[in-house]
Amino acid sequence: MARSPSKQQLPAPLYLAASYVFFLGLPTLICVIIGLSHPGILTVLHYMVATAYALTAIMMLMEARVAIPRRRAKRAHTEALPEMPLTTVIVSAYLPNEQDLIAETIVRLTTQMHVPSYKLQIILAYNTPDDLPVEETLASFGQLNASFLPLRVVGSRSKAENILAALPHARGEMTVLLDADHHPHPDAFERAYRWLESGYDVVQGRCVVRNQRQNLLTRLVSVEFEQIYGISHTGRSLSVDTAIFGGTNGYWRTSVLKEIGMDSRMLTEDIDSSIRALLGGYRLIHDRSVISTELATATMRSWWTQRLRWAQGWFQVTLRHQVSIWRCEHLNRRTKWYWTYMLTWRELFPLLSLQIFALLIAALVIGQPVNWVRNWYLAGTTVITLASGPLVAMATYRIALWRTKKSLRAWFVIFALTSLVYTTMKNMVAMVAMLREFRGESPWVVTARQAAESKAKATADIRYHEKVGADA
Amino acid sequence: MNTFDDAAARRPASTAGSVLLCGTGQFESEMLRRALQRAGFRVSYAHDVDAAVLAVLADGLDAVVLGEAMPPAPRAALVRWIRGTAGVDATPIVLLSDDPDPAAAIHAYDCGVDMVVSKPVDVDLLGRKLAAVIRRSGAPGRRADGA
Repeated sequence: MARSPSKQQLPAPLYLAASYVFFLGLPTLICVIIGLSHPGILTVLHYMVATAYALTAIMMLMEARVAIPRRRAKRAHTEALPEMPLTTVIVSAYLPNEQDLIAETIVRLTTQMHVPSYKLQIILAYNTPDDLPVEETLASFGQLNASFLPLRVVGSRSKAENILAALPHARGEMTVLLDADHHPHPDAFERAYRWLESGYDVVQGRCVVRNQRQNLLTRLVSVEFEQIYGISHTGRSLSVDTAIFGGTNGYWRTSVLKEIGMDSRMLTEDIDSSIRALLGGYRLIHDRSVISTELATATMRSWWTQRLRWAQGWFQVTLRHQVSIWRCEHLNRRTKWYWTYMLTWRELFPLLSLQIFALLIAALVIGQPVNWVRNWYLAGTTVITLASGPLVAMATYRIALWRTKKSLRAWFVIFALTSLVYTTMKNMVAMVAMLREFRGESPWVVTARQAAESKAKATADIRYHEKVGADA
Repeated sequence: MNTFDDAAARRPASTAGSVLLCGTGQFESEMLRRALQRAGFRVSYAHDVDAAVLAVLADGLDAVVLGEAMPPAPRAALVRWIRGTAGVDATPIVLLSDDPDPAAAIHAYDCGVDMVVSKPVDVDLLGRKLAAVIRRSGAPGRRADGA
């Protein structure tokens, strides 16, 4: 299924301006009007917004509390584990965007994993508008190596379509889904398979940034990824026994993946498939010791594009699945509650958090400023909210891979201090994403890779890559 | 020679034997190098006949893996030279072939190749086959230090 054509794109600044008018300007006006006639209501709204902030902060702290204790998966002592089944690896690539990365990824997968080659089936599902020289290299790999199949997916415009085209070829009991820039740690497949053996159907591994020292943005994203995969995903998995498939470094029971498939109409087809798997009664888990390294977005433009796609995709998924989750009979209350936090609350929070400014402006306009210091509830929630960022950053540092700690030590502090700004930026993206979705605009823009630069940086960070799993 | 900087290149000296790749394409060579290194071989690469002759003459080579990126005439000349040169004439030669015609394999054996392996190959199995031909040639005994 192809994604339906969307409306003509409007420039991002226009969306930003519109989102502030809709989500801040309009509420401010309403608050002023309410404040002039019923000042008491403003105080109630203050309490509500402060509670929203505090609830989110408490959730983050709870996830950190659960995620901090280490849970080591048993390490394999032999290179070839006889109990490993045939494993299919599907690598999705957009060429020519990722042509400089793909050969290295394929060579690594065919030669570096702790799985015998006769138990590996590697399918490269790629789309390209033109014939490219790298295709000859890929064909030569295919001619040389019996376990590798290059598959050009004609007409594909998305990862979902590439995966769907590759699935009929998948023969393994476990299917690994990877992006073109991913280098899984040699023991990742075995670690993931243990979970399938114990009854889970989908395993999400930890994605670690490989080009972390490329620039300021990649440093920040590296720490953010440590938090997302080390704290948020882990905390969720340990406390509620649920997880998401994040699109890459994901390990599926092949029969389940073939049944669930990928919906190419969705911008985040990975989250969509996670929830459809969940609703179908399948079990998902996150294991942060299943490591794969990737390249972070290296420019603000590509960061914006990527985060916008993620935000809009999550919004689509929320609209599509939230009610189904509430109605699902085999999910327990705790899981439903958590998925409400993950979906509906995730969408509401950026809007709610912005209302603090609407309330403060309105209070100033009507000349009735709220005394936050003397109000124990407002002061308390403010302290919890402001402390949560640094505390979670400290927790992230505690569980971060030692190489990341070593190379980005100061950046954990910077991340802690700027967490409010960074969160505000992500909230901005979420608001723009909502407006775009309401307008029916959903362009598929592949995350740009600064190919040559990324390749050089990736090579420079190889030493990091080799050691990255040592302290997982 | 190397197009990739990777972990395998920095592994300790291997014990399975020393292998020369010759006439394999650039990226094929990289895949084979890493796969054979994982199997415990020390792997070097020669891009033409002259480089291959120098490598064979150098001490410590246990087997030669020939690919079909090298044209048939110089490849056959190299095989005949190895078989006709005292001191290196027992060096096992494995040909990776993508020619399904049995006549091509027969010709290769007639020239002096020890084993023809049809592509595509299972890289781990190729390692075991190489180890077997080296063992049969007595190379591990010759080079007990694994050099």
